[in-house]
Amino acid sequence: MITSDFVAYSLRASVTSTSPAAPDLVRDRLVALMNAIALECDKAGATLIGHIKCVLDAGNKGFLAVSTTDASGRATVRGEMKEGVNELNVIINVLLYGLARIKVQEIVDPLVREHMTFDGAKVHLEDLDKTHEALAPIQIRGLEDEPHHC
Amino acid sequence: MRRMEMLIVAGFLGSGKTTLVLSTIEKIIERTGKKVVIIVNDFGTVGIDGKIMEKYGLKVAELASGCICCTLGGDLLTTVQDIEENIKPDLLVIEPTGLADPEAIVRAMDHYPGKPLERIRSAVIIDAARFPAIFKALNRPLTSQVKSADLVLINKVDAVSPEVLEAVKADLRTLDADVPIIYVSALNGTNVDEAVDAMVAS
Repeated sequence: MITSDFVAYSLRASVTSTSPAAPDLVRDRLVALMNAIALECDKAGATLIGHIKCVLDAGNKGFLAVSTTDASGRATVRGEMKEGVNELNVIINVLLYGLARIKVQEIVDPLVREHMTFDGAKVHLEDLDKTHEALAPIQIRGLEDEPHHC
Repeated sequence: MRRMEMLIVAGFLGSGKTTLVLSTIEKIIERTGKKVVIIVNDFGTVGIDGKIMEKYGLKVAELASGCICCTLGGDLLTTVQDIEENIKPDLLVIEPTGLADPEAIVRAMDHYPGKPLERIRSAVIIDAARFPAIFKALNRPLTSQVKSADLVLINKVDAVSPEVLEAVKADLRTLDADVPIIYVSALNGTNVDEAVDAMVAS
């Protein structure tokens, strides 16, 4: 279902604060962030929101996964954090239709900075599509001529 | 000796595939006694769905940054063979991206160099709440997903009225989807047992 107007934007937000961010605060901020991204993309003309999701892995202190599929402000949460952390590593994936990738980036990056800047925290954003962390796609013989189905 | 089976759990982005896998996999193992391995293919460069499954105690092989029915076909075959030879599961569950055509995965498996599989089945998850919008925007690929399915699970039934559910089912029937259609809520457990029965049916 990759059409010409499909866009995927992945980024990592690394947040470092001088004092631990409380679990409830982190959870609320991530929920607000996912809802805000969906709402702003919708306002900007996204024709269909596929999936907007994030995961925060705090190791033995827990994890949070938050996602939404529309702009109704009802992002759902999985997992929990057991205690506050000074360093947060959040992976965010935005998959939708109808906007240019640069437009999505222009919407998402400021929202991430706004929502993840806890008291005194520093936020570093990394466009994951530019860092080539993932496995390189491999084509095998016999499949090269298959049409693209998705 | 019985050969490995494959179950593809497909469905559009955000339809609830990961939630469904998480809510059914233990029941599948309990009910069948099968050794199960899951392959997750997430579209983002760093997969989120696989991380979530790991947090719930599942061992997950992850294929990130692309779609296995397109550019990652080779990775899929290599991963399946590696799993077959080293873990020897009875059932391999594949959760592709929400963009994948399960039929294309089946065709990719035609090139599988390992032992032939016992069978490949696909369950397609439909998001009851968003079906009208998705059906309108992506009619052809959604139709293709549904037509290739052995089972259709209409998910998120807790989020819509009975009338909406019936309308979704009626639309699906217009696609000649002559397969079992089950209403389910992977989130609150509605009909999950029935879905498990259908997913492992012989």
